[in-house]
Amino acid sequence: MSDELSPGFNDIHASQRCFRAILDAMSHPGRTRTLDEALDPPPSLSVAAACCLLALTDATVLVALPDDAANWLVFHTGAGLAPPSRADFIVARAPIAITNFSGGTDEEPERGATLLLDVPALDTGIRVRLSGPGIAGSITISLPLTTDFIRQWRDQHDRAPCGIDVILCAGRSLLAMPRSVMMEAI
Amino acid sequence: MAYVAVKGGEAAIAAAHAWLARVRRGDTRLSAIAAAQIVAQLGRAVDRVMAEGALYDPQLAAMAILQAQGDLIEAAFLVRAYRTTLPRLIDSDPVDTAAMRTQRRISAIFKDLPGGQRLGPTTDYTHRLLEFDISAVAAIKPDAPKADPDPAIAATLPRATDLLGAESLIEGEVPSLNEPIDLTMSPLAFPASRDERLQALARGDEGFLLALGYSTQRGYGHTHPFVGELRMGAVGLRITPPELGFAIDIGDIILTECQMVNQFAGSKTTPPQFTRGYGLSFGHADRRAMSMALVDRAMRAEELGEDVSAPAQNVEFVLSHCDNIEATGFVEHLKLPHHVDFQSELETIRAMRREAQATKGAAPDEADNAGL
Amino acid sequence: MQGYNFAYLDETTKRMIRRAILKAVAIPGHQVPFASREMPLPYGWGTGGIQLTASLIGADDVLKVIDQGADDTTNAISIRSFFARTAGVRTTTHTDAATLIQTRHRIPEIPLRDDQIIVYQVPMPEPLYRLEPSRAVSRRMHAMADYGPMHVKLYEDITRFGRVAVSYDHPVVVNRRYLMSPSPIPAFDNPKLHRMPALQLFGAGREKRIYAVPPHTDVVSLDFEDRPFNPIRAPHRCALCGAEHSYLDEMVIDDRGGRMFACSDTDYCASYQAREA
Repeated sequence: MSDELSPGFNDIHASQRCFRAILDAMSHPGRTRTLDEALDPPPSLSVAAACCLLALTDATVLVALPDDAANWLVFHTGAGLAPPSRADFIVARAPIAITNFSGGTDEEPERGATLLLDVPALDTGIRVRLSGPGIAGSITISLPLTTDFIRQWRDQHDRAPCGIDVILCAGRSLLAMPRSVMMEAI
Repeated sequence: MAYVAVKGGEAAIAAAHAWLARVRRGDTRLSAIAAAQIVAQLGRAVDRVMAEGALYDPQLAAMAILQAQGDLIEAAFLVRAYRTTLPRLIDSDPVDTAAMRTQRRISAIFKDLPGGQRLGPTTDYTHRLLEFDISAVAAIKPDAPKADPDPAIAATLPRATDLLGAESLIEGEVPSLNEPIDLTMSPLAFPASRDERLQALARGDEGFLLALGYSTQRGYGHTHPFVGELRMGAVGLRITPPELGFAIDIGDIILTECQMVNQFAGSKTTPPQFTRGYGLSFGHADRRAMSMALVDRAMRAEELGEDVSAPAQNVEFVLSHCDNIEATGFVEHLKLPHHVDFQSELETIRAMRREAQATKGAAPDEADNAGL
Repeated sequence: MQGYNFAYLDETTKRMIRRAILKAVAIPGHQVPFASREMPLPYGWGTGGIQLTASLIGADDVLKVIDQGADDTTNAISIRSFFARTAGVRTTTHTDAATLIQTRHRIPEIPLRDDQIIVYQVPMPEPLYRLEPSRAVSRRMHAMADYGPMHVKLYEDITRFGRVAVSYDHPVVVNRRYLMSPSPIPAFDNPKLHRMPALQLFGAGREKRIYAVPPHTDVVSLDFEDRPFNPIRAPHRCALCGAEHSYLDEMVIDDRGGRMFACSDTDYCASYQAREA
């Protein structure tokens, strides 16, 4: 079984590099980072999403992801599998209802989940203005989101500090939207 | 100039380490102590370092004691810092202390009990007279009583508290269904569950536990304690590798266990029962196990509907301060340079004094300022 | 170093810390609990900062470590050599050459850049601890943004001393939400926290907390309208480089009350001297 699975990272430095790219993205919402790691993940995962999962998950976290990628991830990191409502990391292929995910509590907002939104392309879709921590003033970019998702994001701000954080992945690229970022369609 | 002296940091550290190495070895005309001698002859020190270092390995603990010049907290720190780097291969099965091959087993609540009272290698009834010729005394006299009169009784002995349990006079021990929290892998959070509390106490500072246990006896959270049983001996350690599916014995560890029988509690629905306090320690450590049992019981005050007012009953207070590795680090860190903060204090206090002088109508006193 | 992983910590520990860092960045100023490990340096010596640095650092990083603003203080030397030994990374004393800066008690004088990360060693991450020693209670206060008592405490200072008597570790509000300890930096450094382009990470090993201020984030020092935040520095020039606006160390140079004032930021002082020469 294991010999049907493609390899994961071949050294610890890959994990560190990916983490730093994710951290840079999370610290600068809207900033796109490209990952150079050699990786041939299962078809349902982009390289970027696969890198995030390899870098951040292990037996102490619960992940919800497409079936054909589950064995691959469990083999490489030992991550536990869970339904999206209980997962720490959720992989989704399109913008979905985020209210079903764990948003943490007022005392422990860090328990809010991380959503890996694995989409075909990043710089496409609706124009949004982003502002908040990590952004000097504001920036305007295109994001592959829906107006409904943006409404949900605004609702999530009413529940702050609870909420989920999003990493948008496409191919080898990723960008992040921590729950603190404000987003308005223009 | 004074400022230049600060620049020698790197050389100063190297010189300090070299000096320390010389002092540690001491007079080279005397033979060096081997770790094996410490294991053999300073067993109580080794036990304490294993308990507070949270790693059962007498040889490593002895090496740490040697490296730390006998500073047991420093030795426990060396063991802890090493322990953290070790891979976790498997969790052992829970040890069964009822199956302990006891060297010592005493109960203060029964005159006699099945299996009998057994003193074991205790200092309890020694006269505390310095033995000026200890090396001569240590030579075992041929006509001395046999140290272990009857190895046969080392078989399983019932716990004294189980005898009370048969009559339901003491609260039952309800096995926990959840996987216990691992204190070293998840941060302590309050309110802490009993498994978390016991783990913290098991590696807590012996002096701190002793003082807190003592304070409960003096009225700060009194619990009417009786030593139901104190036992010490070897317990088999077993693991169940998933690929085998059955338990295998991997060796013995020496443990001391204290079952404290405490103040009864009851309600309209449950008849009164004695309550328990529990202490368990690596090695032979009566004081540690008993103190732990007292503090464990004191921390159950809220659960048992008692007033929570004494320090030993305050779970957050006890658990946040019982770890001597954390405590010694933070106390001793005051030695590190703090001159930036102190400088800001100086400027603030000078400014406040200037303002105070100004409102008094007097000119700021320069001599006063310089004196700060 | 033989027998130990790159940058000392095992990969499982690093991953746990990395996850905590990401959540800390997403919730600016909120203290994220983490399973702090025993490090080979004592608690209080920067174990939180060291665990952060160990989880961040990569083979390409250039590390600077300062204590009290200086690269050559004993603890800074010790931590720098720890990473040189366990990670084999390049180290520097030049603020502008560093990608990663670990600090105790100071923020460098020259502005940090967007491509740098600064890691603060934090002894006491809970800004409310003097008012409320129970972390269970202070956590609830943070959840409800119940910071009134902190204002009262500062105001009591003003009525007693005529000014806020906090000269270091002056509490700040991050992103208009969380009250945060900036670590024991002098109040003089507090304005540098505000909208800093570099990512700021805070690590408290003994207290097992990580928190963060993302780049360009509002950080406001607690004050009152009639008593605005007004940090002070020794009103002197640096005796070594002549700088007029840097934070100064005061050194006693004789037993007759003689004093010398010099930059606490030794790299700033050296480059200022070089520029002036």
